[in-house]
Amino acid sequence: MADPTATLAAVPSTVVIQPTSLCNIACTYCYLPHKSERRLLSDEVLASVVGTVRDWAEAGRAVEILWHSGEPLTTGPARFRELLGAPWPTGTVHRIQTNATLVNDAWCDLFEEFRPQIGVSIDGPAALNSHRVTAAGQPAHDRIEAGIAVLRRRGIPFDVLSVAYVPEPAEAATLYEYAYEVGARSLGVLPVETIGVFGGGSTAAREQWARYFEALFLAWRANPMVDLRELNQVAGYVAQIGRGDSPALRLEELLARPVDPFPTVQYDGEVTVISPDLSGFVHPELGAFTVGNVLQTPLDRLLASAAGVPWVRQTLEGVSACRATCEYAAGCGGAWPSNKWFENNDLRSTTTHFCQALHQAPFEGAIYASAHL
Amino acid sequence: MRQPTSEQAGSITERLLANGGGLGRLCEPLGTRYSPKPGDGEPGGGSFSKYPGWDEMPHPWSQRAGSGDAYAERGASR
Repeated sequence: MADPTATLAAVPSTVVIQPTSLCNIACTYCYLPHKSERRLLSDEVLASVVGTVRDWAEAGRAVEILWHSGEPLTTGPARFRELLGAPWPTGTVHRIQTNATLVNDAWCDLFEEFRPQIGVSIDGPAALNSHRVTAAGQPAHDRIEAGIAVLRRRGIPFDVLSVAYVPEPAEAATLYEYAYEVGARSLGVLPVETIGVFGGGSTAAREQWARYFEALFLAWRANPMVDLRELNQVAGYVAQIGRGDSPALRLEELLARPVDPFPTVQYDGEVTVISPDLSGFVHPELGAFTVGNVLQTPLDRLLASAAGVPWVRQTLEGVSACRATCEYAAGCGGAWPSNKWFENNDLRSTTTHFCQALHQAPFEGAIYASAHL
Repeated sequence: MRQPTSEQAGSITERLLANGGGLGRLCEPLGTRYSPKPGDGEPGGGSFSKYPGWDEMPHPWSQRAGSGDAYAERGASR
């Protein structure tokens, strides 16, 4: 039987860093607070994080850096050159999640030099991308596509991350075809979620999202040129279960895995763990969703003590509850506190609309899709 | 807190494994990154032994496509 008490891993897979709080567009479903304010990551915060990542590297633990939360490219290429050019350990993988509206040749020069993995946020062709708008409410689609065109002209590889608003199977096929046509390396799909300052997430049933993913997977199977993150999740899970002496034992091992702390470092050095989307928000009884600040305490020490922070303790209780009661928990891990908080107002709760849509539906969709073959 | 039962913990897993052959056909284009063992396609059979690059489950905030250096690989497939 799995250990019912979830724990935090000492070293994360990834550190999310917020180079700026500012975003230059205003997607209707955005969860971020303070996105109209240009607050920049300081050199002191950067140096502290770099120091910890170097310590981890010297101990043989490579950690990826994801520049996200706000539009990273609003910092400007000169500042971003300083961020990527900091003394990161050799071989550090950097990823940048961007709306691509500011991509130009100067940015591509920087990408060529430092080779970050670029993730472009776009929801498909114009008809599906209508929720990505400017601050004035005008469609941002053409500006996003213009940025993608520059990436393509310069031969910069990129992934696509899309928000799906409704679980309409025909739209899944359209989205996949679009990702292929624009030359994406991979496609990830996020059902729209109730999170942060946005309260209008999907409440559609898991079955509807399962049919959406069925259509998405079949579109890929007919033209398997763009990696699908959600299918990889299912395939990876089945591969994991296939390792070891028996599926039952392997399942117990997966259920006992420590939770990836997945820290997010805000521009001001405050650190949130597990769910980046909790950054900047406050629990009315347990205080801000932070475990401390890297300007006072190095990141590794913050993570070592994070499990004792009351809101993190409740979060881990929630993970344990998922692992004890949900048949999908070994696949998703149960560690999605932001959705539990913003949907249920309870970090110790279990099921959310979002977990059914993103963490359960792809498994069912894969079974549906495989029945066609 | 309720403890997991094998039925609760295993049902989706059992259905996936029971459908191993179908999943193998679905995922066949993943090629060397996802290779069903011989025996897939038989009722109740099938397991998946190889999926290099996914030592842990992909985190939805992570989006790693392929493996290796994407810049070096560009243009290789299309």
